[in-house]
Amino acid sequence: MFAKMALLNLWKYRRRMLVVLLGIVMSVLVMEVIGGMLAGMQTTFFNEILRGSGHVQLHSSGWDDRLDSYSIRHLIADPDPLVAQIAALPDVVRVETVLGFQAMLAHDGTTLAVEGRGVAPDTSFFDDATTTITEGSFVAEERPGLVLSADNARLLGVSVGDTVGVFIQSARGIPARRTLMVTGLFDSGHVELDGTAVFLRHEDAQALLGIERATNEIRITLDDPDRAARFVSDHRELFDRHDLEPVTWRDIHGSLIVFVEISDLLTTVINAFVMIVAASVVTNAILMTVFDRARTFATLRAIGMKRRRVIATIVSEGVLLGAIGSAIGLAIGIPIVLYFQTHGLDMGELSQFFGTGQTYYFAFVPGSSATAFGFGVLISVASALYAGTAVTRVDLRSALEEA
Amino acid sequence: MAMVELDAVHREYPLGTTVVHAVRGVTFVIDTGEFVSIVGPSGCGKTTILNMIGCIDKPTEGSVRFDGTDTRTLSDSAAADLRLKHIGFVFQSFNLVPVLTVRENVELPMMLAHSRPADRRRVRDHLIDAVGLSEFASHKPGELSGGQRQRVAIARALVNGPRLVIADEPTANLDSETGNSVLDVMRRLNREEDVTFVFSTHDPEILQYASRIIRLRDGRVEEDSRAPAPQTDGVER
Repeated sequence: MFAKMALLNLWKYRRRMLVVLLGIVMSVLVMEVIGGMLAGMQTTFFNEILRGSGHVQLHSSGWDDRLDSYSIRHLIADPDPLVAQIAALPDVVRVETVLGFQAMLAHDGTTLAVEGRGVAPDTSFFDDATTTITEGSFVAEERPGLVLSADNARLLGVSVGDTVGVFIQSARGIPARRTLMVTGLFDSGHVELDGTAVFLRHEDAQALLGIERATNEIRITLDDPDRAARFVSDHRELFDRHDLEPVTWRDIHGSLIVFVEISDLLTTVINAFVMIVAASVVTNAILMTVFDRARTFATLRAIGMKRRRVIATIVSEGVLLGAIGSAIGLAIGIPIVLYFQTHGLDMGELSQFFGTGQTYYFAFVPGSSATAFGFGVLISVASALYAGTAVTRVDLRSALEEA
Repeated sequence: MAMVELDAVHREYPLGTTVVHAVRGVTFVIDTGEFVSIVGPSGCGKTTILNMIGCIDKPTEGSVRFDGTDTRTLSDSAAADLRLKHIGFVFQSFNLVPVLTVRENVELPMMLAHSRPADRRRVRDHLIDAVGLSEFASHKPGELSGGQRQRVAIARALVNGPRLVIADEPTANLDSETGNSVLDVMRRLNREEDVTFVFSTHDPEILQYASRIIRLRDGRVEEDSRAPAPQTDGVER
């Protein structure tokens, strides 16, 4: 009968209940969508940075990316046996050598500073370039040459098949000029990559720089990025033996990971703000509805209902409203998150700043939805508890006298 | 046997910067089985005294005892228990739960008392029949007349088998014929169910039903008289 009373009372005061429901629906909806957006951004962001950097990088001792991240003074000599040895270690999914260097491209009197990367033709670390070829092909065993962005090709006035001059400083510190053919163009959509990166075969980069059987970086992908630190400590002796300095993705992207932590904080702040706004709306609406029935509750107390039972009755209405409102909020919010998880949301150059491409892909996180549901119910229950406590604190005599 | 004892009861209420003396040193005893009317003009303290007898309010000074228990010593929860088990209330404005049917309104106190469903049904149906509302058992209060609503309130007041029923101006919102019928029902239940009734009124016409009249003026007992013999039922339902 008390459940029936709760239901019938909700129906009787349906306009105010709609306000309460709307408040809960909107708060859960906002939490779900914002949560999905930020979770998607984090996921995309992590995938992007980990795909680009690998989970562990090995450099020759003395290398410091703050001084010269593409320095060829600190080389890893004869890396192939070491690469084979690392590839055989547990947890290792992929090992590659990458030879990074600084260069200047020249064509018809136009010059462009770039960052060159000598990579394996089947590299797994530069998907953004390998999967966005617009003309020609990515570096191939059978076709040595240079792959640059379509933007840079336009700036230099070259296309596939043309040759460009490549100015470098050789391993012996001597300026040198080579001529290479453009074999492919890519268009990743990433400002930094499109603006500076050029790719060529690892052996072509060695030849260009006058280096034999050496590289300046070994990139390793593990089956679980969270095991990177453990992997480094487990194999510290091996790395020391080869005079190598290992760095994990956390070391490499430390400043960017702060951004992820900030986004977590942002989520918390947004959720707190949404909860405060929703709670004030919901509390007011529930208070009005409860105090409209103050005389009924006073009558129930007069005929023997205890104060806590009255509060429980009002809270049960709050639970019902919270559950219904939260369920509706999720019923609207989850499809929105799932839609943008599949189709993405074009955020323009804003997202490029974070290196995640132009499109944000949301991520549906069941735990986040459960949290939003819980918050919705919590808002309603807390409001009902407050209203219930307030209405039962009214002097019984006065409440009964109110017409 | 004394059921309710009021001993030098005072009740004061703060009203802004002043204090209202609603009751000033009232003393009387109500015995089991009495049919007592507390009468007097508006503002004389009738409702205040009924509220104190019913453990809804507490005296500022003096004591109100129910079955020997000083009601001032009762916690909110204990007072609720006492009301649930021993006291029934009939309010001037009926105070029924609008979303529940007659049957559910009457049954409500038994649910609060955790009575067994079979007992609930039996007692509820008996009382609805006793107040003449069997054919309206599925109706909601909004579908009933004032007299019918007050009869529902009487049935609700009696459903847990209270020893005392307190009725605050039970006929105030009813026409005289309906008011008489409500009092007939109360009088009959007083005799048949052996329930003590205390009701307030300012209508001299309905005093004929009372076996005892306590007349108040300005918060004091002006007269406490017993009728020689209660009147027989007037208009029966």
